[in-house]
Amino acid sequence: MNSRDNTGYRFGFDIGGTFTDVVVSAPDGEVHVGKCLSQPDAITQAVVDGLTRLIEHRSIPRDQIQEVISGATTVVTNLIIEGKGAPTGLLTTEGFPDLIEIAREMRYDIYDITARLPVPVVPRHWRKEIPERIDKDGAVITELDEEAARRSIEELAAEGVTSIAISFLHAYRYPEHEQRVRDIAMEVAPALFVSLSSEILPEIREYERTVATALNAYVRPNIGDYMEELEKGLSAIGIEATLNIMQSNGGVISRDYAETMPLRMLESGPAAGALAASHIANLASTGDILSFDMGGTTAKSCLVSNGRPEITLEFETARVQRFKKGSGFPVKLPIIDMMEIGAGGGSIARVDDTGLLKVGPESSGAVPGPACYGQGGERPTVTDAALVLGYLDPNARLGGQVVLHLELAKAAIEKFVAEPLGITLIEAASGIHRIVCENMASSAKVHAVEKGKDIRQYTLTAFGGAGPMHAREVARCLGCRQILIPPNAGVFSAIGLLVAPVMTDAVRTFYTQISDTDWAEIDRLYDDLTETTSRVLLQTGIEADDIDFERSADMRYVGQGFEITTPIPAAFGDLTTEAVVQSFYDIYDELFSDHLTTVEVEALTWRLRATAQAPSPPISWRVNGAEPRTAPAALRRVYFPDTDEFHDIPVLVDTRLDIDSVREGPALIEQTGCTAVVGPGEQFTADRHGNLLISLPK
Amino acid sequence: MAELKEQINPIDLEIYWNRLIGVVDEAGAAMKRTSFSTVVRESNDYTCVMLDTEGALLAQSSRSVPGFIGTTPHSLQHFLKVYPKETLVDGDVILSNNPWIGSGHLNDLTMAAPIFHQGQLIAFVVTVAHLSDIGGRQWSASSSELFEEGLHIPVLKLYEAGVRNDVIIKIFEANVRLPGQVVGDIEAQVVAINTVKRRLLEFMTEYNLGEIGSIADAIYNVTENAVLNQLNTIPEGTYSAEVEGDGWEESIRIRATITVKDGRIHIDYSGSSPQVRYGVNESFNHTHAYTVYPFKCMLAPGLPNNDGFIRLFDVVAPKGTIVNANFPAAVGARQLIGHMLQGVVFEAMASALPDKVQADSGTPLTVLVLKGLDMESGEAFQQITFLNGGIGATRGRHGEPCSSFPANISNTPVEILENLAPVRYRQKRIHESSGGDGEFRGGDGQVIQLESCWHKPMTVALLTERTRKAPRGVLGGLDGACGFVRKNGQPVTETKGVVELKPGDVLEVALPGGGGLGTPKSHTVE
Repeated sequence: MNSRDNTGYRFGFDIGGTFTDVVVSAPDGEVHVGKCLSQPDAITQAVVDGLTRLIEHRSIPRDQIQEVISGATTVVTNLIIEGKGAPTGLLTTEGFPDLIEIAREMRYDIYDITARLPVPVVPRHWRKEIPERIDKDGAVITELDEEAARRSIEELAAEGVTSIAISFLHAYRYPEHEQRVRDIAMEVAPALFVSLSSEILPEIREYERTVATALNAYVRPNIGDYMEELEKGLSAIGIEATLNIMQSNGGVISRDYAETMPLRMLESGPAAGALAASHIANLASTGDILSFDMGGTTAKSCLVSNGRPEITLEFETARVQRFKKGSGFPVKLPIIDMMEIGAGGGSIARVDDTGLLKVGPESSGAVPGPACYGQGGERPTVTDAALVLGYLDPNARLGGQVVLHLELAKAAIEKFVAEPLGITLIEAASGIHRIVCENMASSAKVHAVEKGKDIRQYTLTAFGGAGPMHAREVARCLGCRQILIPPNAGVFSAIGLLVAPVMTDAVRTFYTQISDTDWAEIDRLYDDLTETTSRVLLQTGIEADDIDFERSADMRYVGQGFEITTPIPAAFGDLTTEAVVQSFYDIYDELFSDHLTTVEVEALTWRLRATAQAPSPPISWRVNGAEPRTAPAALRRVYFPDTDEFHDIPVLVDTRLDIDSVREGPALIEQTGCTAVVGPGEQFTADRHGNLLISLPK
Repeated sequence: MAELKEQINPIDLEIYWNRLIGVVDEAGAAMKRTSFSTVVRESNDYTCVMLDTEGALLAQSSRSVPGFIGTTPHSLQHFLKVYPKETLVDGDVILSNNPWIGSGHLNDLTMAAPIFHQGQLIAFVVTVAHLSDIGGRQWSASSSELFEEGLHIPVLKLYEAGVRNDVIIKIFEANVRLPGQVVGDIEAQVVAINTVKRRLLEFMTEYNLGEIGSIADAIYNVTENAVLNQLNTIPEGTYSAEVEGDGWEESIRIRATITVKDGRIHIDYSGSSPQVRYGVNESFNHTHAYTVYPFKCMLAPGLPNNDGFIRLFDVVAPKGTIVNANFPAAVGARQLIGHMLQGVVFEAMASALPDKVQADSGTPLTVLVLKGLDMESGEAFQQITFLNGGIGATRGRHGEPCSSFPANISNTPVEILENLAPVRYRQKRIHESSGGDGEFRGGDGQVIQLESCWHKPMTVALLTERTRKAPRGVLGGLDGACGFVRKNGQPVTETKGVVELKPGDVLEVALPGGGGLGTPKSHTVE
């Protein structure tokens, strides 16, 4: 059966640190959402419970559920951060046991001499050197010492190692030695999990390849258990649907493939958020967007240009300092390019030793939470400021449970910000709000410049619990002219699971100067990659005709240290030196506004992405979760930094807005779980998809 | 100062300050993306700063290497001596790569431009970046005078009221090996300058500001006060230390006498070795930067760089010494000395700041320049590769193995180097137990073996240090182990010389470990 022909119901879930979000789309395109608390000790239980509740509430026939999509944001990351992966061994080429410890020899903070680096997931005593050597062209210089490999594997198995990574130099050109050692491992210890660098990340640069392979090996046994448990749980409630897995590149893949490549599941939740944003932006025809997901601890943003989220190969996991580039393990797999900073509703405001106000990255977390939650939090947060300024409803119950205490918010801001700085309560609250927005905007600006984009041309698409409330001030700092707030903004990310295509990427390193490349050889290389990726996609239950292929290569001028991902023509007749060089020049112009013609161009790594679009995506978004909601007061006093005064402004409910009629701000528009703020001089309108569009004056 | 506080409230100041840093960071990102220079892009060997109308440092891009801390105000002063500020107009861009004006060697090109708002000069922007090539002998320590080290551009205007002087560009093109890339690098710096101008003027308009002098003063004051809070915890007095490096024929000595008094820090390098006839001599600017750097680490690691920090230091480096050589001394590899300055500063301050110092590291980094030329076929190659030793210990942290300090220059991956040059690594592994023992141990260095796979003899120019003089431990910690160089198992004595490798020959290089901190457990009486 085709799992994605849209004749049945499709489920998606995202397991986050605090909440597990559940979404379902019906054959007619209607979407339902639900939310329940995550259970760290029984992660799949929350999923099964959430699904059961939705199924019963909406009377969904269990035999008509055709696909379940797992977006397990935190499962893989937590295994690495908490050091709870499997006892893992590493086999390397003789002479190179320490590559994962030597790393790139750089520090991530040039002034902080107490900064530590992440500890390799394989300790020195479980790294074994195997006599063998391959040269850069893939020729064998030293034959594989099979006896040494056998002995090393036996030793590791005897010491309790359950998963091994094999990473030999230049294995991306000649995988046979790694493959032979895997065969030996299967003979010696059939229960071992084996990850090969030539399969996990078959590209040049030994440190990055080895780290990815070791991390994959480290999480693999537990991820296998997770998937089995999930299948059992689903089966127990009568769901026998195809299980597919969301990946970090923004596509889903079969459970069997994901189990061998669990590293590709990292950060799949935020990736889904960016996908959902680009999907809704396409529906609303807003053009390029900056997706902006602000939650309790962090804000994540992603540039979506020409309808596609930016992809990066520079992701890191398990950072020692969460917001410091370089402090984690590099994962050089394609991932949706999220810029994350420590700015969320729970970010703490404090006066630092320069006597100035700082906001974040320290967060009050879910417990004790902001001062206004009344759960013992004493320090003022971004949420406390929003409450004092009137953006949050003082009579609301967050998540239907938490009662907000305006007096506690005022007291915290007064004590920790207003008094030390000698300013009024309102100045202090407005200061917290402005500074957190300024921080988010300034990092987004630098990010856009790094990508060669003009951020002012982008529509800010805001979601997450705190996103719609801060979008206006962020947009003003960025110079954006339009804001889009989707319906269900509080649980919006998970909807991305339902619109995600089936997708996989494959790479092959083949170092060549473009002017003397044998294009027939490149075409053969792509034939191989096409076959490999097709095989993987077909496992998800799609038809071969539905697959689209996209070629690219990592190219640079000879002598440069950075490569640029360049589109490569697909038809063999078009694959010429002139066409490829032109494609490189075009992308170079786009990024850097100019290119050189006097320097030779070279390619290192060739990439293929295979994609099959999701079935006709959900269209009817305006469906709410099960939470009851009190009708908001008709008017609320709200402060705006730009007018420096309070205004009595109308409070509206998103589901009751007339479609396509243009209204004037200021106004507050309430959704379940979040509030959108429209300022003075701004206009807003609701479209037929339930989106709220806000225009800012020039 | 109290008066200033009334003028700008702390909320606005925080926002203005962040915005100004955002402006130079954005410009830095633009320069990094458009530059061709590998060290700019991979090692952040660049800076982009904004200075006030008096030439004091207001905001500096966050990611640059330490060699640029506070160098740009000195550079701008020199520029303004040639082109007084009253004579400057919008669209002027001044440049020079003079090592004594800029940041210590010819490869670094410094550019400056005035920024006008409503007809008034409101600020200066300065960018510095390491060019892909500067002609001459290529990056090495083997020159004996500056003229061998490449093209020297005096203080000139690259743009005059927005019009480019193409003569300068043509001179560059004629004197460097990679003209296309070098002109691209120069243009990248101009892009950064224009970014700062545009963004600063947008900022002025948005907040309806006529000048930034009062914002600048407020930033300097809060910075100075925050640094003073830390500085005043150091007992007043004089602290001194001396470190030794391998040098060339004879070892070199760097001596620092540091006086902490009246909320200021005075560092005097009298007693250091005279300048040498190889390219390791320092210019004052670069010495100044690497002298204040360890204080930045100890006193204000989280604060942005600006005049409020720099103004608290006086650096005295007698002329004609290795830390302030006279023109036309060769300076190409001045980092070999510059990187050792942190060791002498930390050691001097160890008794006063035992919880803040770091023992000396297995630094400076080792540079290998691999070269081959087959006269018959014309086939040739040249590649530079970097290797790092271990970092010294700090209280509470063992030193990291094989990490760059105080610069931040990554290695070239084994597989990349083997694709770029006809060599094969036999090994690259941690130099076991090379970190100095201590209550906290120094980080280990590394050992590599490179085999020549070329059909002709190739040469390897060595830039190594600490093969005879070990990185020292502090506060009872032991020294790190020295590095070494061997060819086919035999010691190479000229560790800054050139070795020839025939096909199949193996070069072995070991990097020193960092020093330990505190008396080792094994030495403590139980």
